Amino acid sequence: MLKKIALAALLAAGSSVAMADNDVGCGAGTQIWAGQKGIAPKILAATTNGIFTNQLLGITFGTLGCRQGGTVTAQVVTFTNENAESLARDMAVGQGESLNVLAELMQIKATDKARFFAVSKENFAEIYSSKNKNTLQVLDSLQSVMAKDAVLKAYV
Amino acid sequence: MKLITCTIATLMCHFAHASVETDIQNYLKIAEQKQLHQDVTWQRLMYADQSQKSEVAYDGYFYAKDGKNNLKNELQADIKALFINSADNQSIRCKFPARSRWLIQQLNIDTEKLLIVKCPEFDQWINQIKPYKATLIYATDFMGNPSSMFGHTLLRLDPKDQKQLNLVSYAVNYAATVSGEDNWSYAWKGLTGQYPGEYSLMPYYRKVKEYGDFESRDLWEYELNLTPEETRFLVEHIWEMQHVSFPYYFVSDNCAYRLLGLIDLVRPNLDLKKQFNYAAIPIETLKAVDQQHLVKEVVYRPALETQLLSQAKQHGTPLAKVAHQIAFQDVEKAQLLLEKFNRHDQAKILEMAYDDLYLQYISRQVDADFAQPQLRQLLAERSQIDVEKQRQEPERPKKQPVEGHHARNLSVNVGELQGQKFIELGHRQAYHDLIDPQGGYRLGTQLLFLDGNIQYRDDQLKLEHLDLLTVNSYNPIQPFKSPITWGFNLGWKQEALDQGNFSDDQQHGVMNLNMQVGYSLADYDRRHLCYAQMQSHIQGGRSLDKGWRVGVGPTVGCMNIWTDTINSVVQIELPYWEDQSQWNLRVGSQFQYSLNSNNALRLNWNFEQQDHKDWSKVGLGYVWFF
Repeated sequence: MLKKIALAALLAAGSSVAMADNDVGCGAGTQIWAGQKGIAPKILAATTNGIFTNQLLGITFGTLGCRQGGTVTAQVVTFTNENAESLARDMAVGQGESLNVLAELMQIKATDKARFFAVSKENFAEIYSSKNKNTLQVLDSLQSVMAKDAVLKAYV
Repeated sequence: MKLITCTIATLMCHFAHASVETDIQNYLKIAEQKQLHQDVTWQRLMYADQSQKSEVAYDGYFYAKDGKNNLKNELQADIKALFINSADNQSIRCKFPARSRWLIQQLNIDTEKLLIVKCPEFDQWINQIKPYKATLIYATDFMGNPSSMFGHTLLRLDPKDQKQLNLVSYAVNYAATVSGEDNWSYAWKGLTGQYPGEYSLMPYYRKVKEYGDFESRDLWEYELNLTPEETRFLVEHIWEMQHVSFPYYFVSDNCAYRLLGLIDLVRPNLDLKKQFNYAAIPIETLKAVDQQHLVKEVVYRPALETQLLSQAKQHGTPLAKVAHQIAFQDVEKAQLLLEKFNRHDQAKILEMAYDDLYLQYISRQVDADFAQPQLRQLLAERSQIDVEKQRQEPERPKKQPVEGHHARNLSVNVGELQGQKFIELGHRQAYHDLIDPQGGYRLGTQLLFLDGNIQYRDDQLKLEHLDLLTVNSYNPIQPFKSPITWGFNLGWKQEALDQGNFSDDQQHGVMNLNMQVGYSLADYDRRHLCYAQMQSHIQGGRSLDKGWRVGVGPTVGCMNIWTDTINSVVQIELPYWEDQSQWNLRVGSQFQYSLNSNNALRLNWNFEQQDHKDWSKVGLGYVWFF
């Protein structure tokens, strides 16, 4: 059993190496972020894709082939990245459509939403601190804020 | 033993093959009996007109060699293709899922008889979209780009029970793919179909950002009552269009036209597209959709600028002005300014300051190095104030776009001109005049295309005026910015002239180009808007001394909506004509009483004075929009 899993992992690793930078689709995004390695540039590359290209197939968010842990899926990253201004605008007042979408994408239960909104408002300065230069850092701060909360830590 | 198994296997194989052959022949016969190649859905899937020829240029769209020009052969080839064993993603059922589904349904093919096919690419794609219902989105007109002056439509595909998540639904957009940096040729190429029109798919929030934030266009969402099956069929067909493009024409074969085609495809009894043979103005196509009772629910999504102006209206101009100051102030100075206000007002100010700065930033009025940290700072300060959101949703306009008047009109006007009776008949192709009933339209824009009238007076019939194109964009000064109001008009008109001089009894036709630029003021609801502009006139005609002349001068005017049924436009122009070295006073005024959105009575008065001579015209008219 253990062997099987190990094999699967190996296969997966092998394929991602083989596919190199091609696993984020096509178009300008890949070019812009070329040369950067790791999960972050991959996801960001995939999200910048499509802004410049007219593609019918380039909609594979959620199936980028690279996964983060917990509730922060690739779709959460993409959404946060592309809606940063409206999301921050909502977070600073503790309500709004974009913030609600984020909560839904992070699978936060209806009963915990009010708390999520309040906590993200209270800690806005930390989440959108000037230190945080990109979306993954913002989400990282959001998660660490949530981890400190008795209820929201369940979603981290 | 081995030999026997082998023989049996071969026999069975042969047997199975023979039975598939019989099946195919059987289905071809049924197709023939039902005359399926004549079926309207088949024709629409093939993009064929009465001539039975497809307008699709991409070869891969057809299975028969002559499929493009022979729908019957194509139908037969497709039926045969259903029974061909293919690699993953290669079967006709993977590449053309809508077409295959329709054939299987029409021929009543038992799917168990078909080979098992795997379409992982298509499955993954459609499972991302999870189409359940479709919503037609209307982005209001935008004067900043010739291709969007008449508005734009796109289609949003929503999963089941996920209304709160509409932003992450997918949107289908049909648009011209413009490569490189075409500037002046852009409009021409767009009008003459030199750009390929293609479908694209993207998350809806991207469109909300583009139209709502960047272009300040309100969005109206018309949820259609297509069934989940119809919606899925539509989306399956979009998959089939991956490599297909059509020549894109701004005026006729455009976004709105193609989306109507998609609706027609899934509702064979409709023929919406046919109503728009030579021009498809997005709002007119929406009205056609509405008339067929296809609309279930209408949602208004105001643009960010609309939201900001609504806040300024709710909180008052003085607070809005402070917000604009704070948006550009460093932290310490901002704190000093804010301290004077109570917590609620501080919250209001910071909320407006953020929206203001963000709008200035995306319109490239502010540098990113300043704007980005400042935007975060404003929100950080706002988040420290323990007061709930102060922004209230903007009021939804009383009339939504499909309730506005139609773009075309016919008019009749009778009255007296220099003591003589006259009657005028007028016609306009499109779209919206400042004097028209304003409900459903963006207030403060005017766009006229082919607008003219003929006049009968003194036993003579003549062309009174013919405007080829008139564009006016009145952008009132706000607490946050002072945008320019601009416009131009190109056409042919009668001028009170005789042998190069102003005349009080003769008129001659001239080509005319007016250009205006200036500023305007309005209340927040734009019910009362006034403007002051500098205007230049360039005219050409045989009746002019040199064959042409130039005039320059100020113009002021007001448009007022007095009640839901009464509005008026008054304009005073004062050009100085270089050929005559004289000032020319021109006053034009119109009062309108709207019987409903598409019928109105108008009283008009025009007066001119120059060289101690007068010219006046008064009339009563009736306009019908259709």
